[in-house]
Amino acid sequence: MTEHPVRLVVNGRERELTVPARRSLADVLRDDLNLTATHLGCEQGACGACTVRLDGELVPSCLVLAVQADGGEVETFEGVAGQPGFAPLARAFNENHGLQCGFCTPGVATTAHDLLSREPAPTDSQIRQALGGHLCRCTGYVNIVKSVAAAAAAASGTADGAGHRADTGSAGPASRRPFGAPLPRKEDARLLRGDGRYVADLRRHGTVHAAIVRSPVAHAYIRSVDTTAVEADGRAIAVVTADTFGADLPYLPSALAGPPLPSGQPVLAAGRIRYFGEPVAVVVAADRYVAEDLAALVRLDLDPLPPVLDPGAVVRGETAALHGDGRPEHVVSAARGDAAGALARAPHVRQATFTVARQAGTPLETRGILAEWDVARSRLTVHTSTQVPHSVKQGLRNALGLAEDAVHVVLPDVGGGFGVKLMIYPEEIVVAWLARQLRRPVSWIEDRAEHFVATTHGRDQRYDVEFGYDSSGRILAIRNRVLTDVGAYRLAQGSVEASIAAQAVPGPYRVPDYEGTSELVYTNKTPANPFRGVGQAPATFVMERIVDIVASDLGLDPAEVRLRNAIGPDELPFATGMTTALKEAVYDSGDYPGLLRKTLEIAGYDELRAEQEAARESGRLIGIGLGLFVETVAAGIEEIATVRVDEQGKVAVHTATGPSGQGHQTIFAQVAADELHVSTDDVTVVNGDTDRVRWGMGTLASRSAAAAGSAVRLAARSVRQQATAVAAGLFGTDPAEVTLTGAGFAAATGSGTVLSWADVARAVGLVPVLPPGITERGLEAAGVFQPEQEPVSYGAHLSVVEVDPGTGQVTPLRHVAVDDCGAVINPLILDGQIHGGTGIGLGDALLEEITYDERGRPSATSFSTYVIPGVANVAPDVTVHLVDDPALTPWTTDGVKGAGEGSVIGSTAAIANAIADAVGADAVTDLPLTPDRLLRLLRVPQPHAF
Amino acid sequence: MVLSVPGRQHEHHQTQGEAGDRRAAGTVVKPSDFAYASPTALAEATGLLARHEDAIVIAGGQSLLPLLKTRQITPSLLVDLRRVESLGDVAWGTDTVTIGATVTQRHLELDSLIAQRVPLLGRVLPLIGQRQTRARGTVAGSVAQAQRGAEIPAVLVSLDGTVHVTGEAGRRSIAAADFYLAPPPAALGAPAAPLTAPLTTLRRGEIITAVELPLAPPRTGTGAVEVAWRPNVSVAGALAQVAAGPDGRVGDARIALIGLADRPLRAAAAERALTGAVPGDGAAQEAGAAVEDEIERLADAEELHPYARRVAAELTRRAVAIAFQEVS
Repeated sequence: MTEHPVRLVVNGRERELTVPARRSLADVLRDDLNLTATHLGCEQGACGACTVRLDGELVPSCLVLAVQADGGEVETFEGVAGQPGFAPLARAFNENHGLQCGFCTPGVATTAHDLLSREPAPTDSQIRQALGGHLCRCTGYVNIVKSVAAAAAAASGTADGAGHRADTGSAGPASRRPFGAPLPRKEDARLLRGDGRYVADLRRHGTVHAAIVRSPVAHAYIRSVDTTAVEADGRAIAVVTADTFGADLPYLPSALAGPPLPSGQPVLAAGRIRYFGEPVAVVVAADRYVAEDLAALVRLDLDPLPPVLDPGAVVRGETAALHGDGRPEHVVSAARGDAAGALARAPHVRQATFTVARQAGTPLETRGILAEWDVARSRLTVHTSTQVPHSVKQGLRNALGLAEDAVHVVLPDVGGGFGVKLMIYPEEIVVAWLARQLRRPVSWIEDRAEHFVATTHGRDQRYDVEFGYDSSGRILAIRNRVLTDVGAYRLAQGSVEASIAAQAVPGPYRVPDYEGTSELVYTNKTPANPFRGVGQAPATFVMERIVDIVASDLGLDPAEVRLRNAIGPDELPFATGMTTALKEAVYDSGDYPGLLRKTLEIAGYDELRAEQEAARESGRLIGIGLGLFVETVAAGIEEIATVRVDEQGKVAVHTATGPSGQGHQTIFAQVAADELHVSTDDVTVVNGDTDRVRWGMGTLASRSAAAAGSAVRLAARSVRQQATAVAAGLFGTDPAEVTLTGAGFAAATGSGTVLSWADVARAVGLVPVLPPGITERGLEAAGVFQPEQEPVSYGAHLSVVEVDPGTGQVTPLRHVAVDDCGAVINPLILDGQIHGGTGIGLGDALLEEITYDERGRPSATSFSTYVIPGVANVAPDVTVHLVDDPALTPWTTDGVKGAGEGSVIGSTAAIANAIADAVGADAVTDLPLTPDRLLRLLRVPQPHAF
Repeated sequence: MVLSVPGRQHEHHQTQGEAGDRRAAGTVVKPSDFAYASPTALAEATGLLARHEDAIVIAGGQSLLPLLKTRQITPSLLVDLRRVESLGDVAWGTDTVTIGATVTQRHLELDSLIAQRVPLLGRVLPLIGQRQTRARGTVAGSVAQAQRGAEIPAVLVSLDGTVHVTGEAGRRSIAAADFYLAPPPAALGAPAAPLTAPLTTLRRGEIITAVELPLAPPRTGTGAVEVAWRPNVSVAGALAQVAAGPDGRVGDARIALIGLADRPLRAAAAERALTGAVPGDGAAQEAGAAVEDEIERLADAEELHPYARRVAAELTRRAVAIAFQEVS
């Protein structure tokens, strides 16, 4: 290794280092200088997260060697954020909810700061241009652009920034309750200082680094995994294979309940490899560079097998079995009425096949773990980038045979999840095992190429449908057969996509007779698990296409056909007749046609149609598409929250959720503050620390606000009752006589004395004598909550696009989202969730697709071969609207439903329909509609594909 | 960044398979170990290259770093040109501009003379990578790497530029037409593994010191049209430069296609179709039709990117039409 002296001025300070020639500037900043705000999202210069200024120019620090920067001046986000000139930007990002997980934020904000220093009053298009080199998976970009514009406006004094605030709907200034207020996030100040701490940013003395050896083939028997060259290399600290574990080789959970399935995945491939990228061995070294050197020395002697890649061939029984007998696994059927009979009687019947591509989650922060073994306490502490800290804990206990108190999982900042971090992964188990074996901290950070093979995929479904309708456009019956390719192994939630697909197709429509059957098959591909919008996004795409095909067949307006079929407000609650998991799904509340009408009105639907007609006459292909959807939320077991008030009157809230940008520190503070009549400033929220809350499902299925939020409400209510009793004891009155206001506790009859929370807490603190009638110390309670039914949010999206017939390129022009997800805790954060989901839907509809070649190698290996939307892909006009009078659900404490996935569901369908509307093709049946696919549709005349 | 190309690319191609698959499966984001030198004199740099068989040259590194980090190239020595002063100049001659090997794309993008005098280059600069990568990436490096979809190699070829190189044996100048080679027939049908470098006539140990491009004649119009899945992830493109003669007809036409193959393609037939034509829709259509025919013939000899192939004619029509608008 050749070391070189390097002199840098970093954030104004001279630094002299000696570094290996191969070390990147980013790694020197992060690891040698501990400036961890420079994030690594791709290591290929494609995502912008590592942007720093080098000699005055913005550069990707991952693509600069430190030796190349010798003598240069570097400014990192820590330096940018420390300047007084950054304050207006920080304020604007906070007020406009311009960040969620915060992982891309240092790069984005560095570029924004650079832009404003050169161009103090940029136009929106200049802002978009400047941010073109940054990827963000959370925000959908709209609020980022808004933030930069607001900062510019604030700095020039033309506006105070309020004019750029999100349309926060009904929770107006009249309401002073913290619940429902558009409170800027508590998380942001830290993230906007560069003080985010993602797992790769954590530093422990003596940490060693793991690298995974992955299979370079999709399907093979393993003859041998030869690690002798690694062992002979003095730099190796450890190397493990499946053989290291012998009969104790851990398997991932393959079912949520019951015994493990034979299709479960071993943490390291044993005997047989079933997908390209499957982990085979793990090497550990002093740093990642050396670990990669060693990984290359592991020799794999493989006996290749023909890969199983076509789910259709599996169904036809033409392929070798990957597990068991290899036949499709029958998952679920769902039915109401008599679809066969109704189809036989229907005046019009059509058949169609729809497909949705296999997709990757691609949070900007890949997965990562830091595991430590505390020798003194025989205890494992794991920081891991997950949505489900307690599931990880449970999985580690099972795999390593550890007692409940011997495993502590702590959630660091998590840079996006989107469903692909909702299970325990092989690397978490192996790295934790290594930390215990080696008795030193072990870190593993997934790289971007690994992410595309090692992190679960989603979607990948084929729907064969038959639908019957009458001449008025009423959809009478649907028969739906779904085939889901779940890849190589069955994961604990690997059947969710298939299960939901069986019953979710009818969505917000009556469809009196329905039958859905859903099967899943195994192939030699990366295993699948939920991805944001799981099941419901593909199913809604299918249903919304059906509605448009019916409309086009009958010459009716698509909006009108929706209004004729949508379940009316007087029909709610609506029992769907379909049971998937445990209970029959019931739609609780709302006004589906009313919301659709409101959407048409907001968008100016009739004028849009007139403009479309005019554009068409001038040869432009403009399309307008709708996506009306329901979103069943908060599936799963109960959440637990604890609330405690200390002797200073400060409130601590703990939940088991695993947020990755959804603002849980803010929304749960709002719920607690609402109940306890305190300021949200006095509430501290800690999520995802398994020492603090016994159990909880985590953050998935759009459930955190509804389920964990209710648990917080219940816990706070109990604490309030405790405190009221204490105050009553102190006042010498009955608890019923005590009232709580923002000032504190007062007795209805008495001296007018007001007791603060601190007064009450001190009275039951470490004092010799407790107040009369009080037997327990402290103000603390747990709340346990599970909705008795899954609430159902709903909404409508309207998309306007232009299709370029010469290239097949789609340009989104406008997007309107209208949402009703029950009571709103924080409209600013909800607005951000809807924008973010709309961005994901854009990728679903237009861009994202993983295909496999005939050898089972995936097409996606980087952000260049798997394209997620950038700011320029987003329509210039995207607006989010919340209904004025949300329909509460009776099944949560505050009527909160859930919103994490709804906008993915609605936007995917709306954009797909807009494209179909533009090109006049019923043949729009396959997502994504890349220029390539769309051009083929446009050039091959296909009046009817079915 | 400039690559000294080892003369073994066909072997490379064959051994790419398994190692390439290991890389695609992840766990390679940090370069293998190498020595580093940053000489101040060109002779020193060429000497280092001559003495170290698998040494490579780095300027901005924006195409090279991704290859180093995924260990698609594992040099023993990196020779950094950053301190070689003579390579940082933009030299304006009467008919050409000579761009030194360490001049960045961003530097040229901010130089208004480029847009005026070499308008085709000016047009494509903002389309390259991201602003962040343009701040490091160089014209010479882009020419050397010639990644599929790269714009600058297409500019070089269509304008009949010159690549100036220096090696131990001395200096020489390579005409653009002679710089890139078509792939060997053996590579047909097996395009999965990317080559580590394009097939060029650079010899081992040679450094690209500068890229020389002709200045545009008077009454020149240019057009650059790309299709990108996401802006800057371009998959297909067409470049056009047309100059009107004294009679108003097209005097000089240059057309290049991007994304079809692992090297820039010049559409000679379309250029011929345009020469002497009256600028207008009809001429643009003819250029497109000529491209269509040309691609048909090319497709018999090598595998072309299917989407880029389908849109090449359309993009040519558009690029020419835009160029015409500038002329008129």
